[in-house]
Amino acid sequence: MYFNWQTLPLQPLASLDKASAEVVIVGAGPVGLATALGLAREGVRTTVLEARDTISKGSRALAMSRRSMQILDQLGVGARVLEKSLTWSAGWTFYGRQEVHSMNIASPPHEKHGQTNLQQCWMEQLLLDELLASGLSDVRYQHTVTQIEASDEGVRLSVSTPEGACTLDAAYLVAADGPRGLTRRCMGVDYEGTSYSQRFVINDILCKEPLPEGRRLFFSPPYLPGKTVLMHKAPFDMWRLDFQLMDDQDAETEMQPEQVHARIRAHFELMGIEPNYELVLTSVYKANAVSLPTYNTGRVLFAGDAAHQVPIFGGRGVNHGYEDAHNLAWKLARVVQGVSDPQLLDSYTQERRGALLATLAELTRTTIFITTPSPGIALVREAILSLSLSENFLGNLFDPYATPPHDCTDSPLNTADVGNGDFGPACRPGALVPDAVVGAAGERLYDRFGPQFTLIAFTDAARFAALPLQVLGFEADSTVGRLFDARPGTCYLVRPDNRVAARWREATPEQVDEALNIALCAARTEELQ
Amino acid sequence: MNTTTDNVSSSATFAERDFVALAGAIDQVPAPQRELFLTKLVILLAAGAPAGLLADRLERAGRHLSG
Repeated sequence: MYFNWQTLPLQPLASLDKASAEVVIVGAGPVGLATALGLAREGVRTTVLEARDTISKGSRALAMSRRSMQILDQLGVGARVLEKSLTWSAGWTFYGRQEVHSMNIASPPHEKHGQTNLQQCWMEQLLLDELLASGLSDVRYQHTVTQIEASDEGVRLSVSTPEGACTLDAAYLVAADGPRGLTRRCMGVDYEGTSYSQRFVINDILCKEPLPEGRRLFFSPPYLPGKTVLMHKAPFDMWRLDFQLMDDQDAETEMQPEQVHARIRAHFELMGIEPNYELVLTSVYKANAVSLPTYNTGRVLFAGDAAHQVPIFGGRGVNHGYEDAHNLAWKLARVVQGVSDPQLLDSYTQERRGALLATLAELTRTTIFITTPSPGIALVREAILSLSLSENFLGNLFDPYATPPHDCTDSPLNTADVGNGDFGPACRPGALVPDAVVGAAGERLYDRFGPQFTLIAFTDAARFAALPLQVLGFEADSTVGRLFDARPGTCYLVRPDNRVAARWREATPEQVDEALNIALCAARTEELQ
Repeated sequence: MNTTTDNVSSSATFAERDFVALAGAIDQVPAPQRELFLTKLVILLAAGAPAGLLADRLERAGRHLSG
């Protein structure tokens, strides 16, 4: 087996600090653990409550983007993820029996990571190990939250364990308890958006067939006319096969082993592969494209699937979750520590929900192309695909992997370029900064980023030494300088989550300090270093 | 006396030879495939056309269909 699930020990209820948790996180999935780790990186203690008694089962959130890998690097687990994971950059699209398109999404120049696949159970284990090593989190399995009451002063949770029940008070609560979590119901908030009726049967299989790794998308295979099959390779000789069901097929019936194996054998036959495999898991999936109207309500913050659900076509779900965690951790830490006004948390909703809605708009187009929810869509897709047999009509149509990360250009934390003139569109306020090799032995710019704000100065860095931030000095005539469109004197203020907060052709310490105040959204007393 | 209609003035030209070619092509396609054939035809005509042209023609075609 690719993972050894063990029952995780029940921490005695008596050892739970019931009165002084700064932040309680509900849910020890990858998003909850990443948020806890992000807060630990900022020196904030957390209590993590999880109803399960094991790491979660199945491949689940498998595909991680380059951006997620950058975040995982900064959380201290990137290297261990890479040891176990599989990276890929190729994709093939088939119509019937013929290939109609191939894609290559290799890493852009200067970027470290590519698309990376690793089963969610491993992600949880690696994040948990790192979190426990931090000594700043009390992670408790078999602790089920049964009630949540939030007020202006804090949050009270009722918790049930096999040993008994208790209440727990916290200054803030992060809900990372998934789409069926209790927090959302207790807070009276609900998702908005679209749920699609088309269903997929998802299978994890173990198979040693040495096919090149990548994403394979099969439209209208002979054994499933008009429908779609996705095939994705995972580490440990695992393949994930997602079969769309015919409209008149019953999901329960189609999950029976006989039906499941019949589909897998038909698919292997289509690919010309001997059906030597072991079926590990079968589940059913329906695409949801939904989001809460807000991700912060007073002292309760929602992250990952608790805040939004994204169709799986395009491998975005957990990636938005990691970005939630990365965006939220530095902000919540500064609010908890009294550095920032709680208003800073409003920008969490604004930035993350903006990014999520952009993804939903894009994935809605992808989802309707894949699931064909209307006769018109089915007809036009059929026309496009059959034209693609002889002409390149498909191209990158409906390919979510072609989209770059979202820029938070309308964030209230940005200082606008007004008066700064002639910068290009890259590295604008709200954008993620590019990575580059900056030192011997392959050291990267992102390796130098810490939990604090950073000033990237293409000028005398010593001028800014008195400011409460990290200053990294580079020559304008360098790889970094070219990526940042720098000239001598150019400066960039970079947030702890690697987004540009402000930039100048010439900056004074006072200007940088003012932009830092804006990005911290506060009532700042002193930014911690 | 001839009367004009609203869209005569929109200078829509459609050559006789195109009329004959389109009608002949549709006639040669088996009935169950005509819908797909016409969809492909529209895709091919729309590919590379100026932005907004397809949306405009869809709107006009729909208007005539309901009229």
